[in-house]
Amino acid sequence: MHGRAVRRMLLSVALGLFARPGWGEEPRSLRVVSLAPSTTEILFALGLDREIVGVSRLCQYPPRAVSKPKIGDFSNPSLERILSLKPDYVFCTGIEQARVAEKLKQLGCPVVVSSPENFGELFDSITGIGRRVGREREAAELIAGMKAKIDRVSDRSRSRGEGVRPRVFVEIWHSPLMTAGNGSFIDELITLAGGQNVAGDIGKAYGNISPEQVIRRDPEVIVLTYMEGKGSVDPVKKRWGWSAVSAVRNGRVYGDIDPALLLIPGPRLADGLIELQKRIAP
Amino acid sequence: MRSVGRQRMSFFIFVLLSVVLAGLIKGSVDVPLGELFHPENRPLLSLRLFRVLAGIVAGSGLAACGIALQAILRNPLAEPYLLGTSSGAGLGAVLAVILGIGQAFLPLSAFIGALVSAVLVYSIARQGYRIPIPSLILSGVVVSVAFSGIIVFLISVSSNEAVHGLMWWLWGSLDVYDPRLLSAVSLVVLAGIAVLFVFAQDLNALSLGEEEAHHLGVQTERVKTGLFILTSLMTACLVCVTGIIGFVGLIVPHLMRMVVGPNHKTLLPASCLAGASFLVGCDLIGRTVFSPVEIPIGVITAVVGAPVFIVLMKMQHRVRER
Amino acid sequence: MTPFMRLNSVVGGYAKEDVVRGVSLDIHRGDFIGIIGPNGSGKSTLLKLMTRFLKPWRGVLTLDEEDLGGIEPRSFARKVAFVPQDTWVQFPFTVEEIVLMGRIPHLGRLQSETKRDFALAEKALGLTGASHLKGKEIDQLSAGERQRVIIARALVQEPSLLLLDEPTSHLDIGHQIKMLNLLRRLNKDTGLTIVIVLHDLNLAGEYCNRLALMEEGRVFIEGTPEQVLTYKNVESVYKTVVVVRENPISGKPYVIVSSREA
Repeated sequence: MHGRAVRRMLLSVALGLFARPGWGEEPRSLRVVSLAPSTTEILFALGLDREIVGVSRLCQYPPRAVSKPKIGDFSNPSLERILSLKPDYVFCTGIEQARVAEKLKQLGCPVVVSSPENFGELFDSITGIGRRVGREREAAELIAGMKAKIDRVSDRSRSRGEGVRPRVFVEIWHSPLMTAGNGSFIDELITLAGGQNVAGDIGKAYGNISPEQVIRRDPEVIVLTYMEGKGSVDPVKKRWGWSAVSAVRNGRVYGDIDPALLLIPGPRLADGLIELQKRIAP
Repeated sequence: MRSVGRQRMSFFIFVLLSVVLAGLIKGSVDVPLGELFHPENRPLLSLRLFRVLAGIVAGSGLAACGIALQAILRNPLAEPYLLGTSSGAGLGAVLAVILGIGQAFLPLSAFIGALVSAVLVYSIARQGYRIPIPSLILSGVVVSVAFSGIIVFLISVSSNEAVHGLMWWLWGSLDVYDPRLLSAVSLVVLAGIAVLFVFAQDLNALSLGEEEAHHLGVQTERVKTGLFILTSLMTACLVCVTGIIGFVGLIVPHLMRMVVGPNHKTLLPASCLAGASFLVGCDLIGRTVFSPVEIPIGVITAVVGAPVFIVLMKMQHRVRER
Repeated sequence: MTPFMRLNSVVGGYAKEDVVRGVSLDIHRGDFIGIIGPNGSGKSTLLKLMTRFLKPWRGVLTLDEEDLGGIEPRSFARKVAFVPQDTWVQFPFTVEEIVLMGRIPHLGRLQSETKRDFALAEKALGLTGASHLKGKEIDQLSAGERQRVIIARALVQEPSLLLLDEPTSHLDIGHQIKMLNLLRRLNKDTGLTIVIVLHDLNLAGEYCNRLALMEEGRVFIEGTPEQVLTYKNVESVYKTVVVVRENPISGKPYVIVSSREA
């Protein structure tokens, strides 16, 4: 009796010391790495925290993200760091991080690419991520909450009537002058918020536009949303020839929306939509 | 200062093995040798093995091409990218990104670009059945500049994505994780190096001068053309997967020439070993020092290579003056 | 006896210019032929045609009755060696390495040098008085020392025909004589055929058994030193007043220049 107990104890000790969980086996807890701010926000919004073992240096929201281990910057993260964290999934975005995703796949690391161009795709993306990390219910709730906000905004726009769509110019960068055209998220946001994107016909999602074109199209509202941070409106007002633009004349140049709310295709996009509507059609 | 023979070779091989080992164990995360082979570390080991192998192939290939070109052009400042392959490859890569051809076809496009520019350089330099050396160098420079101009033009008229997608190209990277691609490149480069070993005697003769080589019975035009094609092929293969890694093809031959002498029968193997060690070592530094940010390997080779080169030049001067 | 190397109405040059304008010359085994003539007469070009560095535009050159153009390069290099006028080596090869390169025509690409090759190199350096330079790097030698090393390399090729283009131009008088004495000894003892371009008429007359005086791409006159070095011939070609006497020691013709203007 004694001997058997001792042997069993020794066996479990031995197993404990030498047994190592294999790749992706169930008893081990989930480990995920996020390479982009958008996917980081989505993961946190789904209720993950302990499971997130690595984020990029650009991931600042929610505040918990800042203290997570860093795997490098946005376009060139350290593959070594990522792999050493032994993630079950790596989440990243499409165009900018295509190369990184490709390399991770070649090395046998499971990569989930999330590149939504509109709300529909965003919701699909959130659902997909939710399924992978076992948070389907949270994903559904998140989507429902965002849909509710979007519906409220749409109702408000509709109640104002179709004919009254203010012309809106969203400036993504100042030199060279860049904006968002049709097919981009921002274009969709403007439409939902009740406005009309003056750059809706430039033919691509994100591109350059000449200052003359902006003047000619005479936007009634200008919203600055620079990736690097909130933009100052004075330089814009002082631009040569822009004093004639309606938005400048009527003091409707806004640089106070947190760019993260408009540029990061994640949970806070719905809040960004609300802020946008407040400026476009108050 | 010079010493030839088995001992020196063994020393270089030992250095290479040590660097390779360090490259596998160390990095932004240190993994002890025992743990390295556990299944859960497989992707990390995979990554490091790929990079080390790429470093060995690129390092030895660039060094060997540098030596061959320096002998053919009789110019110690020659280096593998002199004859237009790098800018041709760059143009191919830029076109691939702009035309939206997937990541998978970028190396092929770059390779074709490199070959096109090499053929162009060769055709411009040719005079009848001869390729005069000064024309070759001039033609290489002209084609390089012209292609670079086209590249800049293309980048400036297209969207930012194209630029971002190619930043890695300018400073090189050993991120080649496609086993088939790496095998193909390795095969070509290692076979090319073997051929160069066979032609060591001709390289010796050519480095004396074309007339001299001719008088020693070397078929200079045929050998020049053949080696030129071979080095262009090898460089094209390397550039299309690793981007532009400078300094290796220039410095390693010089350094090795000072250590083992200009006889290509010993210079070639020594330089291949040294080039391989150098690149694997630089990659290790790039991965480790500013972790988790990775410094592109071309930056490390320049930052390490330039001072080493200057020191060597000064040392040579002092030896001369004595 | 068929000549070792024969030139038949050879015309050749660079780019669009004919420099050699029809030269016919027979070189027999054992000859020590001197090619003399004013600057621009085509002496160096003639040698370049003989070493196959230039292809003739017209005419035929043969070696042992075989057309020069058809001989395999290595095979040719085993028979014919060339010592150029000047040589600058970019890379720091040692003297021994340079001399050993003369064995390239005899060694396969994958072959290493054998004891015999090293012995030949040693001997050649001894003959040219450059043994003490063996371990030095070529770019640290004086022009004269370089010249001796290059000649040693040519000897190591074990040629049957040795062509030299003004090999004594950088040597002082002592070394000039030593060099030419060596060539004469090799010519007499081993039957090495020598064709040498020389500036100095007197040295040419002293050592060569035949001379070819060139003028404007053609052979003006060809024969023994006594036949060629007459004041009439020299004055006609060089356009300067000379007097020819007999060298009191060797009995060969000796050209004396006159500095007095006519």
